[in-house]
Amino acid sequence: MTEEYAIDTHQLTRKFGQRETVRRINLKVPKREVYGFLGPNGAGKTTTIRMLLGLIRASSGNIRILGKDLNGNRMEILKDVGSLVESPSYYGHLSGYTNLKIVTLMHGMPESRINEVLAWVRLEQAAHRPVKSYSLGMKQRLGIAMALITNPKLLILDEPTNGLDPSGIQEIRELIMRLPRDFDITVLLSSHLLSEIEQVATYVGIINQGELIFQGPLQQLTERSKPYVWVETDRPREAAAALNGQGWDAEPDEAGGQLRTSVTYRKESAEMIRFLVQQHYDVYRVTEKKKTLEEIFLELTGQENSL
Amino acid sequence: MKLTLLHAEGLKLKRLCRLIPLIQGIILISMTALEWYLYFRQGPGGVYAGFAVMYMFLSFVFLLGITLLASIMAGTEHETRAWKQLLAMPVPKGSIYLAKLVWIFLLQLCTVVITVVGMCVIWVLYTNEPIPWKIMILQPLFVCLSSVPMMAIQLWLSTVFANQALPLALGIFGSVSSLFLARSSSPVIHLLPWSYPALSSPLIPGHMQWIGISLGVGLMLSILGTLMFTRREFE
Repeated sequence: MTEEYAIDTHQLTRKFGQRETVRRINLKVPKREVYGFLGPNGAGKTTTIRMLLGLIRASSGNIRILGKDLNGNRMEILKDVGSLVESPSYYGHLSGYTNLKIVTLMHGMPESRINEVLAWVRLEQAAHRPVKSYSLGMKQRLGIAMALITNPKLLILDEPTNGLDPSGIQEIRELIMRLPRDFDITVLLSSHLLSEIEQVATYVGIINQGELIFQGPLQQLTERSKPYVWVETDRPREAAAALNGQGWDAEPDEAGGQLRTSVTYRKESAEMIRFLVQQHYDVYRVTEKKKTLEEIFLELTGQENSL
Repeated sequence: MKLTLLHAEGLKLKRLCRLIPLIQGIILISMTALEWYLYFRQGPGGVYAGFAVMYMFLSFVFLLGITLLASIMAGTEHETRAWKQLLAMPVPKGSIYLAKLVWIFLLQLCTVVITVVGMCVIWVLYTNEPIPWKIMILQPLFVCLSSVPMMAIQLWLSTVFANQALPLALGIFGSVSSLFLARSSSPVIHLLPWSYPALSSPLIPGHMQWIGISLGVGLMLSILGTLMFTRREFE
């Protein structure tokens, strides 16, 4: 039977003492997709990823990766998984080339692939310099090269664009988007920035305080960003009631001195405004606002009031 | 697979790790030669007293070298939190730990070879007496073998603590006290792993027993360390 999920966790839980850092998560990462794993700092992203790699044990629940149970098949699974967890790990006194060579040796792979992967992340020039002289962005790119060199079927990247400059971010993005198409790779990409995920991911999972609060295709999330028309008027409550009486959808926002309506079709809007004016409501301003994904994300995680 | 793992671990060694056997050898040979020349030249033992002089430095130099090696090798991984990267590779966690232990042992064998070669050169240059091969080779070799428990202890300590102050302090303290522990009259103190190297010189009666004990304890501690390493969770 072919599995449709590259990662499939069931009621995955991890406790640190009394605190549940990750609570009964059912992560479903479809194959050949870029899955954006989103959550504010400290939500449990890295803990989940560490469990997926078997670096820490799950308190309960189970994990299936590429169709195999992580328990008992760890070595086999890790052969097909490339990872970059948090800050890139490297041996500073060695060159980028030697760092990659260590990875190929441990995976039992030919050395010939090193140059190819170095070209992907544009590190050919610096390949034989000690890594401690690299810039943060170069170290990050080396980390990605180390994850890619083993020809993985599943790539787990934890905040891969940390410390990269805009052009570096763009490059990594393009590289990530290419992977499922060109190399048949499933990517799990974690980030605390939605804008980061929005441009590359096709699937999204949002984790907050250890719980998975949303999981599905990115479109499902974008659908929530429906546009609204806001009308600023002198008596929003009465105006809204009057509009409702006419069969229009409207909701007053007393504090803002405005009302909100989902009527955005131009003809209808015009008709609605004409009605308001004829009823002697003062219309000061009419604006269309669209919720950004960022706002939806903050709404979902209940953090719109933080900071 | 095991050999490629050793190869990979070998690539990671810092230059200092490769230099330590040479430094150990130079210190041992020069201290032995100097001390003998200044104080024991006229004694009844003649040139052979040199081996007794060397005995005074052997356990200290070996144990100190082991402490430094374990600390530097583990430090290489702690430095950039490379454990998480290393342990997410398809290699059993235990093998990674053992590979490091094997490297410490191999480097200490290098120290043995360097010491023996250096001593032979000095011997040939200084005296016409035939080289006493047995004690020449066995004395440093036995110290190396009986240091295996210390290798296991130091590597374990150095991997557990990201801050190397404690492993280094314990290691240096153990290296310094080795000779004194061996001279103690209490047999219980002789059972401490730090005294083994000073008890296994061919100059000491009953040294074979201590080599046996060292290898047994060393094996046990290595297995224990490996098991604890595989069960650990890494940041």
